[in-house]
Amino acid sequence: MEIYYLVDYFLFTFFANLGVIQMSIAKNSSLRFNLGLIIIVLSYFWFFSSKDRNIPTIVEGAQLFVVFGGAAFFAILAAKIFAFSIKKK
Amino acid sequence: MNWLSLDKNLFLFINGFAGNTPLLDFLVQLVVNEYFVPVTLTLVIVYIWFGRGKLNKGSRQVLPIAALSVGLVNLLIAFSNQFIIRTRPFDELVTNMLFYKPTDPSFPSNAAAVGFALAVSILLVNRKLGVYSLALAAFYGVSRVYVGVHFPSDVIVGVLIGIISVLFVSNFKRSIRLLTSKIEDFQSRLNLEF
Repeated sequence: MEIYYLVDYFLFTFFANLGVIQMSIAKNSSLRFNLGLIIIVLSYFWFFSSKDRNIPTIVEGAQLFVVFGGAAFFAILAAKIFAFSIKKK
Repeated sequence: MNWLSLDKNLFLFINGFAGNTPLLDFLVQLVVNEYFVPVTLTLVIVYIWFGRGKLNKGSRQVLPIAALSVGLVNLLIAFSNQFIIRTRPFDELVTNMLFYKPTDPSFPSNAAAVGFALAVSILLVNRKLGVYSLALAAFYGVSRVYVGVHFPSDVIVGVLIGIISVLFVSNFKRSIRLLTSKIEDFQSRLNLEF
């Protein structure tokens, strides 16, 4: 049960971080900014509408912090790969 | 009227709105959990970190300030919980519950402390984003009373702990600058700069 919660949380924070990074590095590209915004909105919508998030879990704040850090790291990697593949084209 | 009864009366006033306005209930239930506000405010910090060119110089210091402040907040609350064990409002009063019943001590509010530590950290480096963050953190704090899991005084003391932690941590300017450059070095060594 808890592991599913952490997986959900990882996916949510991964995509939300990816969206924020796209918005942040957008410079003059409104397409990239809007893409980032859409990714964030969809990640929030999915996370908060797929399950009731107001129920007790044994997941600690420290675990959430570590999962957020990991998700942010992988989001940076994904954004880097995304930026590299766009440049190559 | 002593402050404890004032606190309880204020709790009953705020919690009395719960269950009466579906839209407000929905908004509160969206933000009141452990995920919405902490994640949103941390994403603002990520945005500031990567948006270096557009934002003020030195704004990247928000990351170590926020991380250390939240760490300090957790230490202070863990310490406080060893000595002050206040029961939750739903254990003492007839409460409109819109949230699950936490089992840890009510005082002080960990959620309010973390929310304000993150928001004040953001305010230190960016006024506009900081004001929005403070508004969100304040709504988070009030929502904990609204759903019946905290007394107003728990939230007020939580807010104070959050603010004082940030002000304390941000005093160590040299260490913060050093930590920021260490994180930047680590990031560039991994070739993860944009």
